[in-house]
Amino acid sequence: MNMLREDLHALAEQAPAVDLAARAVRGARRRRATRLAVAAAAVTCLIAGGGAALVQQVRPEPPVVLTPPPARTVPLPARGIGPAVQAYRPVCRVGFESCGGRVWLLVTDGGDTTYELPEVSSQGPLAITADGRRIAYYSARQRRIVVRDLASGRVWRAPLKQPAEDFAVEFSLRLSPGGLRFIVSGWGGRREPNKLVDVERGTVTDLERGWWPVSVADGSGPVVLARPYDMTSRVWVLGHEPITIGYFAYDYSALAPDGRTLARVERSVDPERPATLRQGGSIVVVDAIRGGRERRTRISGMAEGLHAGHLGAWLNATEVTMLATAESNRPSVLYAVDVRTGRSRELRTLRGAGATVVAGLVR
Amino acid sequence: MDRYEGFHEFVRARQQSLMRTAYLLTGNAHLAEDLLQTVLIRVASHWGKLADGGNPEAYARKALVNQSLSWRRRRHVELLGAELPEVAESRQAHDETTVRRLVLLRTLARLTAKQRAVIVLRFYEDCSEHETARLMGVSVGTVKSQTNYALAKLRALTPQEVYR
Repeated sequence: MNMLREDLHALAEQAPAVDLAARAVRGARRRRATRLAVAAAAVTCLIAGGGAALVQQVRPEPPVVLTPPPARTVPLPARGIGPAVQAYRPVCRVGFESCGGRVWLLVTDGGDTTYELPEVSSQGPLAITADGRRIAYYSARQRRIVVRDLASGRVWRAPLKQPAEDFAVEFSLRLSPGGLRFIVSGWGGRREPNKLVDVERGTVTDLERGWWPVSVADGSGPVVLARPYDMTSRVWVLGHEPITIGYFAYDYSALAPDGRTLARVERSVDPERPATLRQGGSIVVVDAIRGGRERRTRISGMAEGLHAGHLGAWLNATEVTMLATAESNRPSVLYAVDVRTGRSRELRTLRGAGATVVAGLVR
Repeated sequence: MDRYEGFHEFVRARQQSLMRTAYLLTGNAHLAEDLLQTVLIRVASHWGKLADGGNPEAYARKALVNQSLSWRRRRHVELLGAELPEVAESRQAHDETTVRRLVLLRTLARLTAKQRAVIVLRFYEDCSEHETARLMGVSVGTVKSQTNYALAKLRALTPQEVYR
């Protein structure tokens, strides 16, 4: 059937290029306005609100940089940098030219200074090891992923050349705790790479297409992939049979220190009240090798208005890091959550409101 | 907060991939654009829920399949195939490939909506039978039988019976 597959892909390439985002939003606004008008024709203020929204749509907003510039920003020195906790790229609401020169900024633990990362491609992935000592990113100049030790300045170059188009659509870079082994994946482009790379040994291994990278250990340690379906998901610790869980999920924690436990956040969903979708939530733990019954524990101790989000590395046998985000412009907060009790404790408040990379976070 | 925050980014990232699927499902550029626009309006209408713990991509793909099936049932949309060029025996290899693909496009248009969808999902999207069944809202048995019928038709209608 390879010929049929090839021919279908060749035919699909003939699909014209389109840009439907604005049209779709206009259509959705019209639908919404119609629905509101029918449901509450007597309520004049609702209709006026819909009209105001439509007027707002045709009047372009000026670019708004949401993140104020930090107090002191300098280019990343060659060496001597302490562990990083976060990197962020200030966001622009509207993609005007003035937003084009933004570079990633690296935030270190306790430091008032942020460091510019001009080498990091604006279109490629950036990741920070869980301990913050190393970063990995796509360098458009070198056409490969580069791993850098922040303290020593030592650099490892991936033995895999990649064109920028690998990162043109959707991509992921999952680092091992030491940063010298990683999975780089891309979706939606022509090549859709899914590779396990070891920069220390200089090896590249092809991973099966369609599987999302979850976790990779150093050396020869376990590699975990996931594949969501409509109502279920499969989790695969390579070398074992994949397990199936009865839930759609992309987002998991890294593999726990026991080498078999994965955690994920299950959010409360109330379709009638979209504004409260992320309220609450439970932490769910599953044996990624044997499968079986999941253990759910309600998360507690988060600040009001924050919602459970992505998980990351494990701090110890029972605590996993979790990013909590707010609906408003309020900063996100990194918590440690005890998977046995659900109790969370605050680790740090994040900086910036744009694209954010947090040390060890799986996203 | 903008109700559609993040939607533009999602569409920019995924629309071309979705468009390719839509094109295969309809076989026509204009219909594919209409189909995708209809689906994206639905995605935008539910963006609040989808962006917040849902999976917009999976939703959009399922909606593409369902909408295309529904269109073909309701509207009897005429899906056009390409006109076949005359094939001379001395054609070069790349010409043979082109002709084979044109024949495939035309043959796909002769399949039923379900048969076309299973071919696209199983052999273009590389979905398992289980995934295909879920996306189409039918049983795995239906996917198996529709795949068999569709492949048999493809083989019968392609001159060289290439899709073995």
